Amino acid sequence: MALVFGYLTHQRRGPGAGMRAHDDGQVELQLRDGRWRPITTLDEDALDELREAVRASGVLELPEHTPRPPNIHDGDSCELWSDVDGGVHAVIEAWTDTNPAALPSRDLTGTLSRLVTAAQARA
Amino acid sequence: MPERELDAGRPAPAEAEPAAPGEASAGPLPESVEGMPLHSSAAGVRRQALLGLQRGQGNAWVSRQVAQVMRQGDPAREAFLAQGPMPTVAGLDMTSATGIGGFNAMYDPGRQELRITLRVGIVAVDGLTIDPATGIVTPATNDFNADAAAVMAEPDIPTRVATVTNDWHWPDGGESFRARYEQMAENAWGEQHYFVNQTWDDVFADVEVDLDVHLGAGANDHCTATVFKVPEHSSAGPGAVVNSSGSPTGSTGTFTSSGLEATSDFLNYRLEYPEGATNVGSATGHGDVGEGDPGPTYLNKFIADFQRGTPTGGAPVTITGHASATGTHEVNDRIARERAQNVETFLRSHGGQIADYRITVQSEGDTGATADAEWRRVDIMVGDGRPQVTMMHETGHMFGLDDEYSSPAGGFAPGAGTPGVIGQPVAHSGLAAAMGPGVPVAVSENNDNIMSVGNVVRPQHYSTFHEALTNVTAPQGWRYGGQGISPKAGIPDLIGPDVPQPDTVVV
Repeated sequence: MALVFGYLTHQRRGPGAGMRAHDDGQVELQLRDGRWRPITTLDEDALDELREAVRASGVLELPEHTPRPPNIHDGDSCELWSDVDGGVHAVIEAWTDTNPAALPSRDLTGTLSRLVTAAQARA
Repeated sequence: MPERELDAGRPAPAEAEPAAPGEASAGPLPESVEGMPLHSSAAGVRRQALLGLQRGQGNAWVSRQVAQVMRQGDPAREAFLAQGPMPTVAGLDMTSATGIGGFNAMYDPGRQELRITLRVGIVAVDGLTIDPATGIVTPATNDFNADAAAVMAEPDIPTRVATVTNDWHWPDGGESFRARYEQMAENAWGEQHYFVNQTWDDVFADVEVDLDVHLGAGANDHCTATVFKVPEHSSAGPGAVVNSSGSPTGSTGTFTSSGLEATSDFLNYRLEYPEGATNVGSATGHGDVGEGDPGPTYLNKFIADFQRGTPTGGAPVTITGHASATGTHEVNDRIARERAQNVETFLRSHGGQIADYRITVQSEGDTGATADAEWRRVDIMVGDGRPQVTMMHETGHMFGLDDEYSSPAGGFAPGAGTPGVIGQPVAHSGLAAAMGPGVPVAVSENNDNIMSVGNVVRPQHYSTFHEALTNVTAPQGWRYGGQGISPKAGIPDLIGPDVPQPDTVVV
């Protein structure tokens, strides 16, 4: 089962929060307990929208590791995965709204969140 | 010194002990007089004059005159103290040479006080919001996406509404956070250390920290802090972040309402044992990291995290053995002691990173214990063991300080956060070195320091305040004085206020 897109934040003391969408539509959630659990299912249209968002976001070109900018102190890191078009596995330090390097992936998680919310609202 | 000498205010010739004829030069002189530079050729005359003044005016009066002479002995010192607030009463908005944060500094020579002011505008944001009609939950930022989905998983909309309203909405617009943060940060950072002038060692700079924390962002704020409301004790949302602007004002921060709590404990660790067992190999790690690790694995991670940063560095480690209440006290005492000693032996013998002098071993036996398995344990505490209050650490960044913590390979959370390399200098290392003797080297090291993983404000954490003091009082130089407030506030005025004395003979 391939991953369309997934992310998980990492806090200094362990796993943070994240979601991941598989190509069968299943979406799993992790909430600071280190365990993925199913949360909802995306339909094909939503999966296609997510794939396109992945391609357009630029995350597929991310390096394996994006370090923290020197002007930003502390903050969680974020681990990203996708199997779309060859895939990506990347870690971005200081995954915040004030870190330009984090913005494309943050927007992408917003897209996933919007699709999940819509699926949950329909359920 | 006799009490009558301290009771100054008026001449007391009737109480003054007259010198016996011919013994004037051997009579007692006030300590302050003995320290005066007397020219040898005139010493006898001056001494006689002083004794005459003692007899005629009283010791207190003479002491006052001597003190006045000594205080007025250096016109440059007097001029410095008379300057008024430096650079002006408005202080100086500045960024440290570290390039981090920004704050205001002003030195008041009259009060011998360095006032550090930090203006922080709080933008209080609800972490989640909900449309009560549709039940749709909206995260404030992408940091809350998963939390929103978790609330949306609740099928009952009124329950969702209650959850969001109770846990994710500010009940008071952030006022309670604002007031508490202001008070906590002032207490945590103010009057921890003081400075001494390098020219005049009786001129000090106590450090008052004044936080002006207000709701809403202001144009001149040193930091605009967006604070998201999250459930109590939750680590939801973005990790606390300070984003420096490179100028004195305009830095930003992202925090959560639980930032005034200790949401992560980096200083306390625990090994749990099967009944009767005492060797490390039979123990397992317990806690939010290393849970279930075999004892040796757990301790090796501990050693990696708390390895010394300098040849003589490293935080103190307190090992406390416990036993459950099962069995006799005598046996339990032995078991608890052996558990602690075995951990000590492991820490001492693996890699030499936890030096002997760092370790304290103690045993509680079954004191306070029940028969519960959780009492079959060893507690390992680093430093003072107080888990870090996040916002106090973040305030350190606003004051220009760098991180001192590290997440080394082989540790409990390798690579997590923004690690420095243990033993390597941090951005404020040079400033700390400029403070003079008595200031520890500032390097990356996991310990109970405020800029590491604890709460203790150590001398090096005043390095940007020292920098600020030097800036606003230039060309004056200052050195680290000591902990707390300076002696000027601790010495009672034994002489009393100066009283103009017409016809005074100044010796």
